[in-house]
Amino acid sequence: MIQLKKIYKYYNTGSKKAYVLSDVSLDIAEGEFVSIMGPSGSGKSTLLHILGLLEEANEGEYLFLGENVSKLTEKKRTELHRNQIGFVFQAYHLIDELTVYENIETPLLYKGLNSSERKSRVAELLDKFNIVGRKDLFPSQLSGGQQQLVGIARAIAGNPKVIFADEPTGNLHSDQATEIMELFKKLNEQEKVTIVQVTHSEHNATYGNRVIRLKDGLIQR
Amino acid sequence: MIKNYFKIAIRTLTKNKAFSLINIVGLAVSMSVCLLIINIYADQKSYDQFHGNKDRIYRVLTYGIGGDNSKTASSAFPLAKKLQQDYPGIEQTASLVRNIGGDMLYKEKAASGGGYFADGQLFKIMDFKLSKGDAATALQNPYSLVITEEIAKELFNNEDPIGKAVQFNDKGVNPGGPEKGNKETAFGIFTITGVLQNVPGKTHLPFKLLASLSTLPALANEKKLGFDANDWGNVWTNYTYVLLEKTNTKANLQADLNQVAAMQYPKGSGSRFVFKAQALNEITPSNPIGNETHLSMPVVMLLILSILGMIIMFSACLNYTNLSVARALTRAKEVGLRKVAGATRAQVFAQFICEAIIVSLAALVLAVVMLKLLAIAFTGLWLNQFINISFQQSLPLLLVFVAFAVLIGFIAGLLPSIYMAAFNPIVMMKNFGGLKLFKRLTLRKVLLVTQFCVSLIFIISTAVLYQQTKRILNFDYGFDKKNIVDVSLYKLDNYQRFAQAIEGNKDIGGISACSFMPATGSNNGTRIFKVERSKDSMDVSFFDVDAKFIDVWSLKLLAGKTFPEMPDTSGERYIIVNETMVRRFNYGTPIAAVGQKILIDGNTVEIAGVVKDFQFLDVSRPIEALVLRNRPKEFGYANIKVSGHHTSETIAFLEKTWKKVNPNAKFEYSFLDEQLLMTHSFLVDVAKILGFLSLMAVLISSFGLLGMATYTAETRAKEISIRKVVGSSVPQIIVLLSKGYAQLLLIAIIIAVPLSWYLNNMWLQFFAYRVSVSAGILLMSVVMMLLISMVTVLSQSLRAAFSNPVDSLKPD
Ligand SMILES: Nc1ncnc2c1ncn2[C@@H]1O[C@H](COP(=O)(O)OP(=O)(O)O)[C@@H](O)[C@H]1O
Ligand SMILES: [Mg+2]
Repeated sequence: MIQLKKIYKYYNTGSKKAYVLSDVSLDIAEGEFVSIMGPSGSGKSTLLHILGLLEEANEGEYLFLGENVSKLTEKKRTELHRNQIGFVFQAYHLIDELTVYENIETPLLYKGLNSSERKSRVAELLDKFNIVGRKDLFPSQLSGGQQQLVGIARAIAGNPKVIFADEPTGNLHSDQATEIMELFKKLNEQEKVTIVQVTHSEHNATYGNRVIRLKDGLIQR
Repeated sequence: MIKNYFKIAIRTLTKNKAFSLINIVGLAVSMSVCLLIINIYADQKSYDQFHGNKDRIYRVLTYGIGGDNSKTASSAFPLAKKLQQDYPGIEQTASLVRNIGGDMLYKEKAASGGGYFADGQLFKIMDFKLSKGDAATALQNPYSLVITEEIAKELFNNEDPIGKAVQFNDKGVNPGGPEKGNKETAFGIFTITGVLQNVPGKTHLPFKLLASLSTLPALANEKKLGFDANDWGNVWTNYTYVLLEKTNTKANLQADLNQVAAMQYPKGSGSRFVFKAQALNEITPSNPIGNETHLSMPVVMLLILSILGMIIMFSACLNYTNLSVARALTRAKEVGLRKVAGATRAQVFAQFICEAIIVSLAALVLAVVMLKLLAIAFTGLWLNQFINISFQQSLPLLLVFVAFAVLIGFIAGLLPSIYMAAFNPIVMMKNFGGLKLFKRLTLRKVLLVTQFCVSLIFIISTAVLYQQTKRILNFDYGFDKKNIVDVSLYKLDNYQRFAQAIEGNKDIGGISACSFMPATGSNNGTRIFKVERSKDSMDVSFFDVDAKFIDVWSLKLLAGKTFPEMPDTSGERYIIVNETMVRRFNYGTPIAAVGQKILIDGNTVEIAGVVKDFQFLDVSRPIEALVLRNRPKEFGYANIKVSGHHTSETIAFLEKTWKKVNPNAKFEYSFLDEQLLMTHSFLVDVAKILGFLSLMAVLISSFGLLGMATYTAETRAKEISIRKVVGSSVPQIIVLLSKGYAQLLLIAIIIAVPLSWYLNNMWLQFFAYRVSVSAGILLMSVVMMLLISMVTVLSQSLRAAFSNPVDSLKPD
């Protein structure tokens, strides 16, 4: 479902280009659970952002579900974010002014679901993630692990085909991390959601079925 | 979705209380000023809305052409008939003739009021209705009078007014203005033929009575006033109203009027005029025009008020914009998350606009409360006793208020919303926010400088206006304005009897008479000629006084003597002139001028004396050539010099004496110094209004500054703590936090000072005696501005500087 062909990404620092990604080509099939690994500064986040349509590559071609998305209108990109793509951040970013319930509900609002549809979907997710009791709390009242659960719940609320997760367990204790990984695995296996995660932990990488290693913006074979 | 926006807006607002408060209070304060102006505008626009034909009614104005640039709301008397007879498409015309107003006497009762000569056609055009009598015939016969219910009640109480005969003594009472008149002419016995219903709204024709038009020729026969039904040259005393047929247009009417004017005032004829159609709804608020029938808010003043109101409103909007953009970074994460969750740019924009509108609506609630207070203050102003703005809030007006608040929210929120909507979600994820910060900072600086400029211009202008007002209030007129009581005379024999009767009272230093009060705004003009060299002529102002005037007013006689005690009854013999007149006619010295012969209004007169220049025009105008004349029949006021002790007893004595010797005339008096102050009341009002607005402007920009300073201090709390830990002193930190503002202030001063100098010199040109925009005023204003700003910024810097570093260095 995802095809990258000769992707380059660079920043203009002063006079010369600083390449963050060079000649990155890669295929990810539907239903895969892929882990991206590599040292700090190797371009993992950048790659994930490009995959998640948050950044554009300078060169190369990106096909998403067979469609060329290298250059997209804002409307089309929003459309993909609403329906196909879920994003989970390392710093479990949540909207501080919204409750757990409302945070999970946000993508559904933008998707245009009516109130009863939203209610049942959010209820389903709260239930699945075991956070029904905390639905009216604000992010600041939750632990890191709990916040990340909410982040994931929000990412999958819109039933995306693929989830991109940038170090989802980076700031968590190992047992919290395990819980998240188990959850990803379950999503991948039971609901056939494609998952691409960036991780530093070899252990976490074992939950997936493929590892892509990045070094200085190049894929290691 | 809206619900969600609303929820997050409320939570953000309650979470950041200081910012919300600054924004809401700032917006509310300036909004209340704007609401006041909207209210005034609505009041003015409510005039004459009760006429069923209001969209088809026009008044004909007259503009002088070819050198004469007079503009008057009146027009020639024959015009109405001409239009009615010769032009199709005109359903009805009506004439209203001025110059009836005074006392109506019935048995022992008296009532007074002003109005017009009119015929029944007026009732076919406008919805003035009779509650008693027949509108079709009431104004048919000579000496018929239609009066308001109020007057009917005063005169006849519960008796039926129709058919009653009343004595009418004209006193020059004006139906629409404050003039009270001072001369009396007996118009004769009138028969009451109708009673006017109270009008259901405000009108530009606030008359208290209507006399039949057919009375005019009769009064003219008796030489009680001048009237010629075919006089196209007199465009000053008659008003022409036109009701167009439904299919006709204003342009058509104007074409008809052009044709009439071209016919009646051909090229080469003496005075030439053109007629202008004015729709009923263009009458109020008023444009500057002579012979207006009512006092209303001048359009220019409304415009200036609106501009000032808008500047202040804009300043408050800038606060919102500025603070929101400054705090954009704290909202960046939210925006990024929403975009990743599928929000479009438009949706993010809508959310932030909604937030701004919510703030604006919250401000509106507060503003409506403040409006109540402002309305009370405005009603207390001197000028409102004439324009009588009523501050009633109707539902439509409240809807306008809400629409206004929404608009303001939109304007205030526009820039931040565009800004937020354009946020790339990745910026915040990567924490590379610093990159974009620089651009935002320059925007913020521009906004702050703009605000500083506005404040400073307001402060300087207020200071200049204050100085100018003070200058005028303490003006040296060249005569002694203290302790002079003026009494309206109405008739010459009233004066003679009164003067004799009060003589001998030890608190009365003298009594004199004059045609009207010098320096209070009225003046007459004529052209005088040297008798021996009739080529030498000049325009002079004149008024009539008696022999004792110079004494009572403490004028300084430079040469010659005053008028003879008993003026020659056969005609005008002497005049007294001022220094400027002597200079203009090149007599050399005052002594040389005495005895010179002058031709005035066809009479040869001799200069009896020369007085030192004194201010006889209103203070906005420089002194001009003046001739004092001595025609007793022109006298309108007695001037009584009182001692200044036992003033109330003296006034009581004057009133008692007046009533005894002149039982048929009202005793009306005023103090000269108060009358003179009255002429400046408008200026004082303007000073008050501007002073208030400028206070608002300064307050609002201080709010903005406070917000920025608070924000800066907060965001830099960590930096400050680290600096303190490594040994920065408190003063060093204060300098660090304040120096950015000092720079901006300096830029603002460089822009605002020359600009204020220019602006203020512009309006000062309207005053003959004016203060200069001195370095002192400028310096004082700048210092004041600096002080206010420094206190604001320092309050926050100090708080930050003295904070305990441990508090802000706790891990996030
Ligand atoms: N906006 C930017 N401008 C310049 N350099 C950037 C920018 N964004 C990322 N980089 C650089 O790109 C490199 C890769 O970053 P990133 O993808 O975040 O690495 P990783 O996630 O593997 O740690 C880093 O060296 C970083 O400094
Ligand atoms: Mg990274």
